[in-house]
Amino acid sequence: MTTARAWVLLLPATLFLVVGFAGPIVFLGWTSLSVKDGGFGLEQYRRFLLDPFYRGFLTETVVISLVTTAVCVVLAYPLAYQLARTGARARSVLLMLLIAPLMIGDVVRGYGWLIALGDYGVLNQLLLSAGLVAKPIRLIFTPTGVVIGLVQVLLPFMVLPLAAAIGAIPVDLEEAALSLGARQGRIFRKVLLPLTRPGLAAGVVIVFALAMGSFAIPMFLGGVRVKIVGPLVFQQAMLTADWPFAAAISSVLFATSLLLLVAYTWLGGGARRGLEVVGR
Amino acid sequence: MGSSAGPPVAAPGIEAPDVELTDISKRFGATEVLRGIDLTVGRGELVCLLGPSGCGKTTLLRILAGLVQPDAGRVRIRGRDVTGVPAYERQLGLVFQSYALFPHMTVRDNVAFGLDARGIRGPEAGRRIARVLELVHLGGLDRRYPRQLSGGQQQRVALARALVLNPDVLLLDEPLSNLDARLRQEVRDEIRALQQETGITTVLVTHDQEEALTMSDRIVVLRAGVIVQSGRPLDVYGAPRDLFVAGFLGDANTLRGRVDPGGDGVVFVTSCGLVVGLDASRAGAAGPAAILLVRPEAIEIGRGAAAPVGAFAGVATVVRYRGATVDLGVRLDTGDELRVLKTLPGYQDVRPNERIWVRWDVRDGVLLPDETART
Repeated sequence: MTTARAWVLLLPATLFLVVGFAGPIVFLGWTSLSVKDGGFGLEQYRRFLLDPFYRGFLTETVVISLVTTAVCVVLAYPLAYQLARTGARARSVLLMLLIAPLMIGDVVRGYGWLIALGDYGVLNQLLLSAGLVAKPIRLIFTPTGVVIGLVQVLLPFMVLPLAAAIGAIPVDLEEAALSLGARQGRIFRKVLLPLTRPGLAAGVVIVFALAMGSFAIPMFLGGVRVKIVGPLVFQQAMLTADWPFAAAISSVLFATSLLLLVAYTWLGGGARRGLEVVGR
Repeated sequence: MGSSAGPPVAAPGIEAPDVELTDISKRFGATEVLRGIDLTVGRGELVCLLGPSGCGKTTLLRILAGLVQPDAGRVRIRGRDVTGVPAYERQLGLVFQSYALFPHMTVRDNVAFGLDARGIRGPEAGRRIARVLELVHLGGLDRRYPRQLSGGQQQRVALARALVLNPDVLLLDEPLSNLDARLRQEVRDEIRALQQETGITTVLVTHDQEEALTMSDRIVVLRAGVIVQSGRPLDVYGAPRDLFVAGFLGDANTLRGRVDPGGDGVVFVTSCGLVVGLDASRAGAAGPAAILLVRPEAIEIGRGAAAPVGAFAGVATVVRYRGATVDLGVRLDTGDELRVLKTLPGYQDVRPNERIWVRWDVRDGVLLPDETART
């Protein structure tokens, strides 16, 4: 009775996932295997992985995603701590500030960063007028620029699970550690870090996966010089209309993300626990 | 830290008390939590901060621990001014109401945490951990995690974690409130025995009068951020300074009336007209409008309509049998109502509505000023 009802409730989401997620993946795999003159083969994969020009896209995307994730972790901990430990009213304001950028699309933010980081953009104008640099520093169309943009877009996805994890740790534990002679650094290493590992794992998984698949930010801030897989797929599919190649690139990207995340959760102890924190 | 604001650290030749709080005040926003608190705790003494929730007792403990900074006043521990010194630099052992054990660490690692923070590791740490776990009867459980322990065991881990550092003062925040009634008594006796064994100066915060009465050398009663009374449990119970203390520590019969100095000896006349003899040495303390306080267990009862000299006749209105004790409600012929508590051996079987008489030793009557009448 209850189980039957549970199945009825689970059905819409299950159907949606099958039709909207599993289906396209199968279709993607199928397309990527097709060869120009008809029939099937691994030709598209060979082309992507053996050609150094194309392979460069994969390595640069992985490196930029890893750096973005690392920067997010470092920036997110203090933010998440503040968010978790302030009073209810201050927390809702902070939360609002954190979430607000998510309501603005990636495209708008991409343009925004273009204006801010451009050769004669806001940042460079400030640096020039302050006499800190002699000529504009190059930020847009560099990996650094892409990382800056991605960090800004993805930071909330790191902060939220971390804040949930920190919020679940009683303040008593920190105070007990203080009274036992531990300073902030030791409290972070010995108490907060181990107890927030599930939240950290969740944040890392989400941010890394989103960075790997990012499109709009690298499109604006990377231009043609920074090799990111997302825009390459777009170019192959929409401009060159080489659907099998685009499908193969997507499949490799998907497999790489999955592989790295599985490796991480194996090493870092528990994506399942991590996702439980997000679910709380 | 200059100590110019406070009195000298200690008089020459006299050992400084382990804890010395002078004129401590604290407010949180608009709420004044503590006002002008002076408190000293001597070496080896167990002092209980007793009061209802919101009286400021926990804040006072946290100020002592260094987790909260006072707005005014000085905190001295073993003669050293530690006002403004962060918690991690004070040599104090703090045991939380929630125990605050680190859930991801074993019993051993929990106890080792403070030693490690002080750079004590290796065999020296091992020896001290083994000794303290033996002391709290947790030997053999050092590999367990907190979640694998009972509430009482967790409590003892928290104690061990604090004691292993040989703290100057042990601070206990409501140590028994998370335990069930039967365990509470056991742990209470254990903590007291441990404290006597180690001779460690201890400050304990509680809202439980029984805990305060049974455990402490001295009780400090707080109300609305002010110390109302301080003294040995027997003295505070026997001679409460006001109605609040009387009501907070045990039950009390309160008879409102006035002191009449006329005739032969001072008497107290209740508003209903009952005339009660007074202990002459205490009578002078109160003004004309006063309250006479008599503990329920100090009242003697007898059956029958004929009251002996010095006794008051009345009727038993309620008889509540409670096992070892009997709780009686009595209405005197003057209309005054009293509660009487009798222990079973020697108790005469009183029926409701039976005529009885009551009397008490004049020395058991405590005269208090009637603050409601004065205002």
